Amino acid sequence: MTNLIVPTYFLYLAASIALTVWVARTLHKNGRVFLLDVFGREDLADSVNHLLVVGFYLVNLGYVALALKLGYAVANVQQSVEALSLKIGWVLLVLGAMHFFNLFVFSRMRRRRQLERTPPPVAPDARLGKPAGA
Amino acid sequence: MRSLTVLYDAQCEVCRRARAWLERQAQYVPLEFVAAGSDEARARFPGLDARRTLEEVTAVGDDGAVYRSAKAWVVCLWALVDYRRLSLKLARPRLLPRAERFVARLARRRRRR
Repeated sequence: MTNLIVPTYFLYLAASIALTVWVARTLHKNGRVFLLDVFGREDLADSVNHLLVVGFYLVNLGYVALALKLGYAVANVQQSVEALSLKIGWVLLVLGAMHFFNLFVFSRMRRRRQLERTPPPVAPDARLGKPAGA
Repeated sequence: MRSLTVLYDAQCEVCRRARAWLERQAQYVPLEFVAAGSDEARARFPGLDARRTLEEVTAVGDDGAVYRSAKAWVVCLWALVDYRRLSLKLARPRLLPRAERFVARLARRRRRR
């Protein structure tokens, strides 16, 4: 009876890292537009975008590493596939949660920015002829 | 609008407190306070009726827009970072008349004293 645990680990790592890279790239590519709208400056938007993606990688790869260990022997291919699907399922859920969290952060930033630009919500009662004040 | 000048009754305790509170808040639009009916107010806003500014709080934007009473309050809240959201809610057609009644009642009580 062969132990398939190490090949399973490698498959798990390969799939998890590939998924993480894919989601991070998607986030990086499509998040930029949001950040440009929020910050209005390209350099700042790119910088924040990059920092966000680094954080995203750290959290996800950290989770992938922590969740590697199976804790039981894998005797055949069936068990290997089952173990893989369980692990990768969790990785996908964590990725999904992180992704939505990022979207939430983006939209919050954007809402805040829009609030800053909102004009007064009531119409003036009168208007002085010349600009008031100093 | 880049700045907002608030004309308030400097003789009235509640108004002074309101001014102090507004000054403590973080502002999107800088607020400036001028005592209503003072020489400064007259010099800066000759087009405003000085007696009326003593009766109801008046806010004037640097663009010349004049807001009175409850609307002045709404615009003051709009100028504040933590209260802009609230000001947008207060300005809705369902709430603004209530705010107006509330501020008018306060003003009446103030005048009686």
